[in-house]
Formats: sequence, structure tokens, C-alpha cells
Amino acid sequence: MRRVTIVLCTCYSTLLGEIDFERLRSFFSDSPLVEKILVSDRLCEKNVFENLGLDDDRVVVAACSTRLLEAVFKGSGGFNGLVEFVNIREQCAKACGNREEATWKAIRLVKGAVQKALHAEPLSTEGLKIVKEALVIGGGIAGVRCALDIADAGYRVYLVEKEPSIGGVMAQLDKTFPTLDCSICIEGPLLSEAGRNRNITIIPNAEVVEVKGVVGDFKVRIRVNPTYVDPDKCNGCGECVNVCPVYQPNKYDADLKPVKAIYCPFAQAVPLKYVINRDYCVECGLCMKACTRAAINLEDKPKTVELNVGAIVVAVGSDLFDPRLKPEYHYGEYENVITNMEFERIICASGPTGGILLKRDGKPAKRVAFIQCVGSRESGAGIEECSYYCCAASMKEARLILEHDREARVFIFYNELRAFGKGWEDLLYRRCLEDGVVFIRSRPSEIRRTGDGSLLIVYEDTLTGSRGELEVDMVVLALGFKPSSRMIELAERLGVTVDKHGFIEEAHAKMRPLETRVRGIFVAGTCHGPRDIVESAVEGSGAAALVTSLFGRSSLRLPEYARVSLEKCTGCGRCLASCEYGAIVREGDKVRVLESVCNGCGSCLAACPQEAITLGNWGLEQLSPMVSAMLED
Amino acid sequence: MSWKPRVIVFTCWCSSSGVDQAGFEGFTYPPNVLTVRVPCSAVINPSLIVKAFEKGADAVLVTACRPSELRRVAPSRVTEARVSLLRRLLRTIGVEEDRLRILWISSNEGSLFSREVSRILGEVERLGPLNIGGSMVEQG
Ligand SMILES: Cc1cc2nc3c(=O)[nH]c(=O)nc-3n(C[C@H](O)[C@H](O)[C@H](O)COP(=O)(O)OP(=O)(O)OC[C@H]3O[C@@H](n4cnc5c(N)ncnc54)[C@H](O)[C@@H]3O)c2cc1C
Ligand code: SF4
Ligand code: SF4
Repeated sequence: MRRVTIVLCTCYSTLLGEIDFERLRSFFSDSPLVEKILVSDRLCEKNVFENLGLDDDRVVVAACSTRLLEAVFKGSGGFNGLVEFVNIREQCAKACGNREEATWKAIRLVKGAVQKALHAEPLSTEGLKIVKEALVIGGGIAGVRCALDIADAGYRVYLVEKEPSIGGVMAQLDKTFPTLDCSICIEGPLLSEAGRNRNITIIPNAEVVEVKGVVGDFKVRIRVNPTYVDPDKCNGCGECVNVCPVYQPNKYDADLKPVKAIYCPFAQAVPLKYVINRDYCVECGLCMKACTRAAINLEDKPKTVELNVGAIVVAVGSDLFDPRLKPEYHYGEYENVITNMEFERIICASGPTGGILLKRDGKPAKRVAFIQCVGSRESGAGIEECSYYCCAASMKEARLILEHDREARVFIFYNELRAFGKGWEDLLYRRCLEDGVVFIRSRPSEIRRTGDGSLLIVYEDTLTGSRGELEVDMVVLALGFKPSSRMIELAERLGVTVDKHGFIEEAHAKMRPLETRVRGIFVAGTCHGPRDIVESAVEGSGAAALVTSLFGRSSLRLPEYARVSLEKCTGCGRCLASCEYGAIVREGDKVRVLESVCNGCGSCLAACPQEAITLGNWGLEQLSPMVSAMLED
Repeated sequence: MSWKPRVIVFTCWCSSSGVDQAGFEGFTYPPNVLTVRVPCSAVINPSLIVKAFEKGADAVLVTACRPSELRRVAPSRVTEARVSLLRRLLRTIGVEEDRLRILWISSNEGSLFSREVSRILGEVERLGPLNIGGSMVEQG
């Protein structure tokens, strides 16, 4: 027969005056349902409960606030569903007027709990295994910082990058605000460190195609696209480039500077391996002859890599707004209307013009205007949010122009100028004012082209209310971040959610800012909203800390999660919307609860008209005898 | 003691913290208010409420999160609908519907809980013991 052990806690003897523990004990001591009664005075202290040796027993713990105590118990791992808590402190001793009443109430509460414990079914205590290897998706600054930190803690990291090299946006920037230090000079060492680190396996030219499993034990399938050059053989000598007869635009250089069809995107690339773009390759085979290491294989096929990891960090960055969606600025049509990313490449010494700000006709640009908030802070084609980095980026770029050419004139069309970061006010805004940058508060309505090919910006100054026209040689559009539909596809594969703009959604924007709704999948960088380099790097380290804290545990247990009875479920789907966490998904003509998403809140139980969903020991089988016993005389 | 109504209070996790808070801050309420802590008001199956009455509760109270405080959907709304349906059923079998109540209690509303629960108890006391016919009670 099932019997229960009762453990009473006097809360450092403070409850002795409020509850008659002797009467409480004697009430239950003769009960055939009760195995034994133990009294402790400090159950919440470390190992006190564990040392009672009640591992497999059905136990009723009568002590303080269940919420507090449960946390202590869960933390120590003593939680198998057979322990029932009663709060005889706040909900009894402290709530009753006198000792007599409190004792009477304590007896009732314990009677109920005894019944619940008797009818409880043991929950699985089997800890989930934790595979102590991590996957980081995306090799921008956030992903690289994260991979390095996890690797330095001693764990293996797979860093999957869709491009031929890691580095992300930061590798493309000329200088970084507010200090104007050379971007690749500070990121490059980090990239090569990641390349050299024995714990990091970089998988370039690759994308995640499938993710299965739960926290601690994800099975991930990765597609490695063919590069037609065997990375194990290529030593980056570059002989092939000399012979290749065809050119293609280089994505790294914002398509402004041609490279050969067999190429390496930039000098500091990691890994430093050549790849062939088959869209341009004419299959002449010259490179094959030139390569002394026989690394080139035009028959290369996509490969699949299967990984088993315990945690995943999503750091895939974000795309930028497509300026063609604002036809009034004629991007793509007027050749001297460029994006700020194109500007970064042009002003960079290794860029297409060797760092000289030239118009497309090769003449220097002497009058340059920046237009802020292109695709941000507006409804319509863009998103309504501020894109965070672009005021600072444009002020940085304005300073770069003036550093190169003191004679140049620079104008910034802004809406509100935001310079909130450390050093931004001083090193960006004030310096721009001192250097004579003209700030005009306006979102220009149109760019026109004049007879001589220069650009005419039509605007209304919202400070003075006056309309104006400004003639310039070049317009730089400060684009807001805007995730592409690929982000949604990736999110779906991972089982995480995206917000209304398409950025990855956090488990809680403030309290759990680097976690997603899926336990064991974390986020860092611009993939969950606009931010700058500093913040992306901070988050990379933060996510790494969460991963290593997970890996530091010996085993893992999921909270009680909801289960659907496939016999009872009719597939009506009403439960789907009831779950705040989106833990319920369709599967065939029924539904399934995703264990690693479910928080055990129980909301879905109410939605199901078939009573097909159960949650741990919270069914009628347990609660009904509990309530009966509490009311019995 | 003289007759006092016996009340079962089903509390969801959040409102249970509110009940804790009452004791913590020293707000007392009658001892015959017996609390049952459940994860979400949604797990309170209507038959459980019926069971409580059957087994001798003179009143049943459900405390849950204010629907407006929940993130996306409101299990509290479902509970509210269940409670109002049950109240109608109670009336049709001749039981005062005010013996079944729902209360919105947040995790910090200890004083509200103790105040409301004492008030409701006073009302139930005036209604007297629940009488739904001896046969039904015996069958349970
Ligand atoms: C023009 C411009 C100027 C800027 N200037 C500055 C500045 O001066 N100072 C500053 O602090 N910030 C600046 N920023 C912002 C800064 O670039 C970003 O905050 C930062 O680079 C974000 O880093 P990240 O790692 O999150 O993303 P990213 O750098 O975008 O890296 C994401 C990586 O993930 C890869 N990836 C994408 N999808 C997948 C996939 N499905 N699978 C695998 N890999 C994938 C990408 O190829 C990329 O390598 C600027 C931004 C722009 C656009
Ligand atoms: S118990 Fe809560 S978290 Fe789990 S599936 Fe149901 S509604 Fe979602
Ligand atoms: S509400 Fe119930 S019956 Fe309907 S799909 Fe969900 S589990 Fe199945």
C-alpha cells in the first residue's frame, strides 16, 4: 500500500508559537496512510532535505511559501513529482488569528496534501543528457565573440557561416564609430584567433537545414554548398586567380570592385581559401592547371554535415532595407545615390577607388548629403523602429569625408539626431559641428537630377518650416536594418519566433534578453533587433556565458510539460492559440506539445474541449481526493 | 466553535503568491479558508468545483490572474466562462450562485485577497450552510 512521509518544518522554531506541532504530529501519527513524521527546523538549508534520505518516498513537506521552497528543491534536484508542498507559514500560521485556528487549518491542509501525494504518479527523473558542444550560427562579430568565449571555456564550437569567410558586416566597414578605428584592423585578429582556436570548427559556405531534439541534445543538419575548391588542399596561394579569365562583382565590396570567378572575398578572410562562383565560371579549366595542389574540383557537390550539440546561438545578423522600395530617392537609377554600405567600401583604402570618394564618372565628390532613417522610423515599406546605429554611422562617415578632404561640404538630413552611446556626443556630434557639417532636420521628399548630372534634394526643413532645395554631388542613404524572409525560414527551422518586423523574438525582452522561446537556443547581435558593434559583442559574450553555464551542469530536467492523449485529441486545434509560448504544434491530424518550449503553465488544459491534455499531477485523480480530504470532518 | 462556512480556494501560481503575501504582511482572514495551489486556473476542471460542493464546501473561490495581465491569451477568460456557467447551473438546482466566485488576484495583492475573502465569507455566513440534498452528498 502507498504511504506518505510527512516532513514538518518549524522555520527555525518561529512557528512553534503559532502552530501546535505536537497536535499536528499526533493527528497523523496513527494514520494508516502515514509512514512516518519528521520534524526539521531548517528545511531550506543546503542538503537538509537530501540528508533525510527520502529519495523514492511519497513526501508531504509542510513548511513555508511553496514558491520559495519549490525553487530550493528543484535547484537541488530533489524533484520527482512525489513531493507535495503545503504552506503552513504564510497561508496558515501567519494568516490565522490564533494558535488554535492555525493548528486546525494546518491539519486540513496537510490532510489534503497527503491525498495528493498518495495519488501522484512519479514523473520522470531521468536527467536529459547534455552534449557539451555548441553550434553558433553566423560569423559576424556577435557570433565570433561568442564562439571564442565558449571555446575558451573549453568546449567545442561549430561556427556555421553562409559566406566563404566569417567577419560579417564589421569586416566590410572602413572605420568604426565613435573612435574611428579601422574596423578590419580590430576585427581581423579576432577572426584569425577563431580560425586558429583548436576548439572552434568553422564551417563556411554552409546553412542550417534542419534542427531536431531538445536542449542539451539537438540534432542539426547542415548543408555545405559546393565551392569547387577542396579546402583541405587549398593553401591560399592565389595562383588560380592570375589565370582565371572572367570577372564578377564582389559581394564583399558591395559589388563595386570586380574579382575573378575564382576568388577569396578579402585579404583577411578566415578561412583563407579560394572558392569559385559557378554563375560566372566558364569552365575553361585554366585554374585547374595552375593549381599545384590539385585542389580544384569542378564536379564538387553539396555536402551534408550532421551535428549533435547541446546548445545553439543564433547570430545571423540582419539585412538592410532595400532602398529601391523608396522610389523617390531613385537608388539604382541615379548612380550617385548610394547606400551607406557602398560608402563604407568606397571610403576604405582597400575598396574600389582606393579610399578616394569618387563619383561614378571618376570625378571627386565635393558636396555630399546623408539622408537618415531610410526604411526606419516610418510605416510603409520600412519598419517603425529606430535603427539605432545609423545616426552615429552617418556622423562617422561625415567625419571620414572631412578627414580625407577638408574642402568637402557635408550635409546630414536627420529626423531626430540620436547620439546616446558612450563617446557619441563628443566624438561624433560635437566634432561634426566643429568641422562644419550642416545638420538639416528633414526627411527629404525627393531627389532630382539636374541637367549637369548633379543631384537636387527637395526638402522641407521641419525646424523652420521652410522648403528648400540643395544641390550635391552624392547622396548617401542611411539604411535601417530590415530582416529578410530568410530569417523567418531559419526561425521556423529552429522553432523560435520572430517579432512583427522579422527579428528573432526573445523569451522575455527584458528579463531573458538572450534566450529564445526554445530552451537551449540563444540569440546575439542584430538578428534580434538593431544594435551596434559593442552591443553585439557584449551579447556574444553574454550568450556564451549562458551556454557555458548550461554545460557546467551535470544533467538537466525539463519542467513538467503538458501531454496530449492521441486517443482523445480530435485535432480541433483550439489549444494552439491558448499557449502563450507557442508550445503546441500541429502534427498530422492531431497536435503535439514541444517539450522544450512548454512551460507547464496549464493554459492549454482549459482550451481543450476533449480534456485530451494533462499536466503532471494536476489531474482530477489527484485534486479530487485532495479537496475531499480537506473538507472531511 | 459555532457554524462557520468552509471555503475551498483554488489559487493559480501567481495568485497563490498573492495569498502568501497576505500572510507575509500580516493580513489575517478566517481559518476555514482552505487553499489549493494549482499551476493555472485552467487546470480547475468544473467537476472539481462540483466535487468541492459535494464534499461539504459552503463556497468555492477561484483566484486567478487578471486577464489583462496575461501575455497573449487568457486562460482566466476560460475560467471565468466556466465559473459563470457553473453559477447558472447552481441557480437552476436551487443553490445560491454567490457561493461560487472568481477573484482576480495578482502576485502582490495580499491585502486585496484578505479583504475580499473576509467579505465573501461574511456573505456566505449569512446564506447559511449549503444544502444540496443529503442523497447527493452520500453518493459522493
Ligand atoms: C553601413 C554600416 C555602418 C556601420 N557602422 C558601425 C560603426 O561604425 N560602429 C558600430 O558599432 N556599428 C556599426 N554598424 C553596425 C554593426 O555593423 C552591427 O551592429 C554589427 O556588425 C552586427 O554584428 P552581427 O554579428 O550581429 O551581424 P553581422 O555582422 O551581420 O553578421 C552576421 C553573419 O551571419 C551570417 N549569416 C547570415 N545568415 C546566415 C545563415 N542562415 N546561416 C549562417 N550564417 C548566416 C552572415 O553572412 C554574417 O557573416 C554599421 C552598420 C552598417 C550597415
Ligand atoms: S502547459 Fe502551458 S506552456 Fe505547456 S503547452 Fe500547455 S499552454 Fe503551452
Ligand atoms: S484542443 Fe484538444 S482536441 Fe483540440 S487539437 Fe488541442 S488537444 Fe486536440
